[in-house]
Amino acid sequence: MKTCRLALALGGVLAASGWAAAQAPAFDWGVQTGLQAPLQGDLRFTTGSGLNPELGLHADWNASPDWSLRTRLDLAWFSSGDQQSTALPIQQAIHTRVRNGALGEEWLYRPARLGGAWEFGAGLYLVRWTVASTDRLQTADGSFVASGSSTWTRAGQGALAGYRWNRHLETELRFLFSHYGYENQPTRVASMNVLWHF
Amino acid sequence: MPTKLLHRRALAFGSALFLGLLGLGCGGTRITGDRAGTVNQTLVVTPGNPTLTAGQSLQFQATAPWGSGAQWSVEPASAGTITPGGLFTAYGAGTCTVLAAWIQDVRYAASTVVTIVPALPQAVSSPNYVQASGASQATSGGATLNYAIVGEPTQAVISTSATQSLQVRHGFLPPVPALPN
Repeated sequence: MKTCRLALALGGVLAASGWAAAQAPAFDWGVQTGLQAPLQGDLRFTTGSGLNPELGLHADWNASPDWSLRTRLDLAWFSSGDQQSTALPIQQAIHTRVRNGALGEEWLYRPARLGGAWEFGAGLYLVRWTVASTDRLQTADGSFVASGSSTWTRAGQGALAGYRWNRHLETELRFLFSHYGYENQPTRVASMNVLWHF
Repeated sequence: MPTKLLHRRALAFGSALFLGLLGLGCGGTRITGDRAGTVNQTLVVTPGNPTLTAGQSLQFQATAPWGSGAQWSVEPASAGTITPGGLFTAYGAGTCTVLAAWIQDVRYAASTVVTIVPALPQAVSSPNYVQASGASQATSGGATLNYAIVGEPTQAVISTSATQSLQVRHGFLPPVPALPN
């Protein structure tokens, strides 16, 4: 019975999504918002592993019912992080805030056999990283506080999977791979977004 | 505009943007090193651990693999002063720490310890007064004095010139006190 319900629900979703995909206009645009988190590397070390907000705009060119091209701009704010080193003779405390803006292009494929609502894609991005830091150096004789902001533009690659619930609403899971910092540390960010197509 | 033409243009635009991003993408050089935030690992201050005389100035440089320049500080502040360009001037004897945070990313920091020694005495020629180590003192004019100069920080240097006159170089920290006649 449970399996039957699940099959019916899945069938309904697939049918609805197929209809939705068929109704999609050649061009649409919208906004997206969601949560993202760094998965590994220096970014996770710097900012922590918590969930952070993401906000953006997108424009879709639906070349066919199966294929779309999406141009998108996403802004992400990471939680601030603190690093401390108590190694003598100089103790150091660094407070860091990281944010990024990513302009990207994604190829999306909606397999017809899945009803056209599921979509899978790959993207290329230009990611503008901004790191604002405060570095406090403490010696036995006094302390020194330096503040500043650094920016880098790096390439990014992405992979995503999404589901279009209807003509307007879509959810996606996206992985963004890039680098940041003067040492070009690798970054991996996962985000779960809700997209609204006008 | 026909839909097919719109689609073609959209695809052409997207493809061009895609290739452009691909071409622009390879920014930066991967450098194996510590994460930002370890003092003296990536940023280096030169000269390292110098010794200065009080009153002397020294130009410091802070260099990272990607560029130079820093925000500077001296601790304790009473030991000297440092300009935004890294020119350090020592005040008095002792040791102090010069701290630098890389100007392009302050998470990279470095330090160096500066040793400051007292200023060398200023040499003053005074042919009428002789500071000898003993009680016997003489002037270049042949007179004998028993005159001790109080407060002279270093022993006077006595030498004989080509004209056989006795030359004495007294050492005083500036300003030189007025010499009694």
